[in-house]
Formats: sequence, structure tokens, C-alpha cells
Amino acid sequence: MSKTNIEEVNRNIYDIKNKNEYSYKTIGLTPNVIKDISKQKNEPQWMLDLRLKALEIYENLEMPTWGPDLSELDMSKIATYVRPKTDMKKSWEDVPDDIKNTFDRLGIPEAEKESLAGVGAQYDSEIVYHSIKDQLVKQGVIYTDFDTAVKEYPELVKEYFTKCVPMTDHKFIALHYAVWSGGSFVYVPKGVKVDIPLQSYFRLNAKGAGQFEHTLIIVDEGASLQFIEGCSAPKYNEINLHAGCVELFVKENSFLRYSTIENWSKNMLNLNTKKVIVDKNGKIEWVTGSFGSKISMLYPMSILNGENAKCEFTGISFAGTGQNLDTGLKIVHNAENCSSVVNSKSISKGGGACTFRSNVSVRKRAKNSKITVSCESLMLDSISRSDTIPTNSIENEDVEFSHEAKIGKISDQAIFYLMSRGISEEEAKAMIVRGFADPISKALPLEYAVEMNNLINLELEGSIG
Amino acid sequence: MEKYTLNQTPVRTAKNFGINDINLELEIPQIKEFCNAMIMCYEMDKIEVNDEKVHEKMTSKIGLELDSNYSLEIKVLENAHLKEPIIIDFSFDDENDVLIDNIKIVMEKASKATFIIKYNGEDEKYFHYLKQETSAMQDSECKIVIANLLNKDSESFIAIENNIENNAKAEYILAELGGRTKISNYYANLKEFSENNIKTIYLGTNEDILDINYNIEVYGKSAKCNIEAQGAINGKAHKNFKGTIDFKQGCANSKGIENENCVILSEEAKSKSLPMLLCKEENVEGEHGVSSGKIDKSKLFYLMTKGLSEKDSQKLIVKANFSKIINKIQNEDLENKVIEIIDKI
Repeated sequence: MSKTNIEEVNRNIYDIKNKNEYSYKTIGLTPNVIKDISKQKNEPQWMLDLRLKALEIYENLEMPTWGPDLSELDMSKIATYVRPKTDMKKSWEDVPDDIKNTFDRLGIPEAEKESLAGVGAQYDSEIVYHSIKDQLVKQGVIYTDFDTAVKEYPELVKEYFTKCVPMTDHKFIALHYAVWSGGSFVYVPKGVKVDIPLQSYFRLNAKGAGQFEHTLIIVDEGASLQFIEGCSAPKYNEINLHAGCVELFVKENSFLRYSTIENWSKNMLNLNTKKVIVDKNGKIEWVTGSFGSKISMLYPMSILNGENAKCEFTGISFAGTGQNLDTGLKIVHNAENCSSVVNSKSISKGGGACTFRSNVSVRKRAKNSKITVSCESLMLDSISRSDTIPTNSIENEDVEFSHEAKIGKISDQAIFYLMSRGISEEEAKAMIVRGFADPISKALPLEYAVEMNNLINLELEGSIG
Repeated sequence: MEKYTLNQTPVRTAKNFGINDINLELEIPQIKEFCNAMIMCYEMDKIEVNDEKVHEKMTSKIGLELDSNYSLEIKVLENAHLKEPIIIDFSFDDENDVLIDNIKIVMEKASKATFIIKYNGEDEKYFHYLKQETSAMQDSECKIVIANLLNKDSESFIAIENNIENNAKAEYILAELGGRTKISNYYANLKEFSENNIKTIYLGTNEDILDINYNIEVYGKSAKCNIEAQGAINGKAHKNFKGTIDFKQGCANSKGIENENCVILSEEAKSKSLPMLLCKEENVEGEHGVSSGKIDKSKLFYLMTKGLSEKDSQKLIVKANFSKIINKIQNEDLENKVIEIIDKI
């Protein structure tokens, strides 16, 4: 008797490694390493001072006392900065072949031609390619790598950098600020609608390395933007670390959709931090798919700071063998008439562990708040684990709050119903799992929905026991 | 005053969420004898009772270790079915103002009984710490009502620990009404085909602190559990409700449901909740739901069109929310007393 088998994420294209080549590399985390990184980047003094202060904070903060075990992380062995053997190019033709081939396989240049208004591609610690359509430049949109932004738009960067995610938030954000490198900077001027998405893709090729990119997006009043973030790495036998940071500002009457498909390799510790501050009548939409990494601790935070601000969160996690994905969200309602809708799904298989962890907080001044949270977990076997750990804090009486969660296996009744319509058991199960993930794939841009469906590659075989 | 960190959750979450445990400053009173305990049972031939005023160390999952001043063990004999409830009544007064009691209930095989445990005392500030353990043996069935009706300035700690064997059923009805500090902890471990239901009503007024921490571990196949909590908070009350259903590997075909509904009646009251579902078994059904916030405006409007004041309408709606649980007490005196307290909210 064979058992229905749902395959884990097919990682073939993501696992192709390039030769470990770089033009400069630092290992470990000391003041000298940080000075070295800053010197390599030819940074202004204020940025070096900020990095050194962050290191001090990192050293004084304790490791998290909750969540997955991070004891195997040894920062003295992590390559904190790996400069690839090329600088940033504006044409794919100028990018070295092996690096270009990697992004070709990931479909980035193709997607750029067909459906993107701009692309940033990071390889290890630096951006190797960046482009933006002329039409957007004429409208005043800035989309560039973060190092360039520090030099060319210092006032804008100083005004917003660390203001959304302070370096004291937690230990790994302090680490990030100490060694950050790469990432994207986006500014959408007042009233400009960027209808075609921008995309940044982060590829970590170096063995035993960390990636610490910083993404800062400002969507000014009445503007709108769709931004896509992708990330992947090939698998090695030693730990890689991702401690990126995303700071988002959604100003009055503006809109931002931030979509992520995360497919790190299974030796990656993904300790990423994302936060948005939403002003009056602004709206943030998070669409997130977490498929890769050995351990993930990722809780995008939305602070609804202006009246009538809105947040929509749609997310899915798929944990297979050896994976512990501790993901979720944080929402703070800090003004009147705000609303949030959360729809989270998770699938655990082959000994993988998925945890939905959240904190929804409605402050005293946030009258007439409306919040709906729904999370569903699907267990595909009994060696896996699925936990739901939501904290909800309500500080005023004028709130409508509801939270619902469900956990379980594929419904026997649903399988029976589909089989009574002439569908085989295997196909019925596949349909149910695809249907489970459907609300998420519908929220993704088409090419990413296709990628996600490829990631959840359902391969079914067998017969009824 | 000493600082205590109590009522830790079985799984930790981020410290700054402020719900993993409760930090309190307590003045532990001098422990003396408690003489106002009364046990009423009409079928003494079906039970064995052992009550002692012993002073021995008592610890519980709340994390508070104190010397007890009252111990009681009641064993319901094998196959015995009690028709009337066993009533255990503790009356607090100025002489009997501190009670640290350890109540053990043993339900022998295929026995059946109802217990009503009441803590009364209106005049002063009292200190009460209960540890109640139940061993529900195979095929037994028990219903245990615990009502905290103490003075509003009192301190109340209630810790319950249960072991529910194969095919046994335990139902708890908990009324957390009295006291400025109300800390309660519930733990149960469920074996095959067992069933455990907890129905709780809680009230918070003035500057009350409520910290409710339930944890049901499901080990056996085809077990069922249901946590239902209905609460209302007013004034500057601060409530934490932490409920965990933990499906252990091997508990196939088990089901667990948890629901909490908290009505917030003032601008200053704070409600926190942490409904956890932990799962290491594929073939289970687990659900939780939480709702917090204001009273439904349409219900309020309807009642006010019938001539009721806004305050009376609010009380009526809270009572209606609580009524499904209050009706389960099935003891008229206690039901009336509970309603009387809700009326004072």
C-alpha cells in the first residue's frame, strides 16, 4: 500500500551554486570588521558611527528566550561582508556570465522585460544590477541601490533611515545596522501611481555568509506602489544567515503592496525584520510566502498611525523536513477608524514545524477599530508540528475584534465528496491542498503565483489503503 | 510586599508582548487556622472524606508556594452514582480571613458525582489560595463548580490540576467574580476517549487584575476538550486570558475547541488574550476563537427602545452572554448569587 505523498518544494533551480568568488570578504563581528566594511563602501562618517553604535547595542542585548533554537549561530564564523567580483551594472550584458546565468535561471531578466517597471538584483553583499524605466524617472520616482542612496540622497536617507525600525528593537536588528550592505531605496513622489511593480531579488551564493540588505521605501502622499521581493540561496552544509531589514513609510492617502516569496536554502537562518508606518487613509497590503530556510523568525509589523489607515495581510508558510518556520505578524492600531484583515495559512510536512505567532495591539486612542484575524494550519503527517501562538491586546471599548484559528488534516468528507464526483483520491487531495493555498496565490502577481505553484509541487501517487 | 512572577504559559512568546507571566507585588498574610468550612452530602455511604487542618507546603502551576491550612480529600467509591451534589462551603469572616486549601477529589472507576465549592465572604479583604486536584478514573463522570464570591478587595488564587483517565469525563464550571487579584491556572491531561469541558465566567471591575491560564494536554486517542470563557471588564480592570490546547503525538481523532468572548465596558479597561493551539498529530481537529470589544450596538439599541437605560441594557446583555454557563451550575442559590454580583457591575 503506498501512501499519498505531497512533495516538498522543488529546489533544483535554486540549488545551483556558482564558484565561491569575491573581490573582498570580512568574517566575524568586531569594531575593526565594521570599520573595514564602512571603508570598503567609502561611507560618510555618520554611517560608520551608526554602525559602531549598533554593534554596542547588539552586544548588550540578549538572545530571544522564545521561539526556535538559535544556538548554532556563531557570529565569529559568519562572513559579514562578501563583495562580488563586479560592481553595479545598468545592463545585464555587463554582469559577469556566471552571476547573470543565476538570475536568468531565476527568471529575473525575463520578468523585467515582460512585467516590471524596475529591477534590483543583489548577489551576496552588493547589488550587481539595477534598472528603472525612464518614464518613472521622469515622474520623479527614485529606485536605486541603498549604497547609492546614502551618497546621492543623504538628506532623504537621514530623515527616514532607522526611524521605522530602531536599532534597539531586538538583537538581530542591531546586528543588521552594524553590518548592513546592499538593498534598495525607493521614493515615490506625491500623487505618482506606479502601476507596474518594482522588484528586488536577493541571492546569497557565498558559503557561510550573511546577507544584511536594507530596503527603505517611502510612498509619499497620494502615491501608490507595488513592490516585489524575492530571495533564494543554494544549500551548503554550514549555516548561512539572513538578517535584512525593510523600512516602509506609507504616507497620507497612499498605497503600498509589498509581496515576498522567500525561498532560502535549508541551511539558512532567516531572521529578517520588516515594518511599516501607515499614515491617515493609507493602506498597506502584505503578501508573503515562506517556503525556504532552516529557521525563520519573521513577523512583519504594521503600525497604523493615522486615522482610517488599513492593513491587509495574506501569508502562507510551507515547512518540510528539517525546517522550523516561526512566522506571523504584528499590528498596532494607534489612531481612530483603522481596520486590519489577516489571513494566514500554513502547511507542515515531513517533520517540519510551522508556528504562527502574532501580536495585535489596539491602543487606547484607536477608537472604532475593526480587526479580523483568521489562521488555518494543515498537517500532512504526524511527525510534523503546527503551533498557533497569537497575542491580542485591546485597550479601549470601541473595538470589534475577532480571531479564529483552525488546525487539522485534509478533510475526509471533502475527499469523499470529490471522489464521489469521479476524481481519484490522489487528485482530490492535491486539489484540496491547491485550494488551501489559493487565496494566497490569487493575491500574488501572476508570475509569482506561477512560481509559488511550482514551489508547492504536488506529486501524488498511490491508492486508497 | 514581595515581587512574584506567576502563572507562566507552557510556551513562551516575545517578552514585550507582556503575556508570558504576570508580575505581582503581594503581601502574604500570616497563616492561621480556618474554621468555617462545611461539607454537605446526603449520600455519605458512597464517599470517603478525609479533612484535616494540616500545615504543609503547597505548590501549584501558578508558581506560588505557601503552607496550607486546610486539606480535604473526597473519594467517590467505585460505581457510586450521587444524585445530589456535594457542597463544600467556605465562609470567610474577620477571624477566618486566610485560606490556603488543598482539595483532592478521587473519582473511582465508573463513579458519578457533582461538587459545588463556594468561597463566600463580603465584609473584608481576604486571602485565598486553592489547589484542587482531580483524579478521574476510567469511566467516571464528574462535574465540579468552583465559585469565587469573595469581597472585591480580596486576593484569589485558584489552581486546578486534573488527570482524566480513559473514557472519563470531567466538566468544570468556574465563576471568577470576587477579588481585586484573580489568578487562576487550569491543567488537565486527557487519556483515550476522555472528555474535559471548562466553562468560565469572569468579571473585572475597578482596578482588578485577572490572569487566567488554562492548559489542556491531549495524549489519548479520540479525546475531546472544550474551553469556553465569557467575561466582562469595567473600570480600570486588566485581564489576561491564556488558553492552550496541546495535541500530543498519538492523540489521533481528538478534538479541541476554545472560545473566549470578552465584553469591554469602559475606556480604561484592558483585555489581553493568548489562545494557543499546539499540535503534533495530523488527525485532529482544533479550533479557537476570540472576540473582544464593545457590546453589539444593535442589541443595545433594541433594548433601549424597550425602555431600558443604557446601563441596564448593558447588564442584560452581559447576563445573557453568561446565562448559558450560569444555567449549567444547576444550583439555584448559587445561580442567584452569581446574578446578584453581575448586577453590581
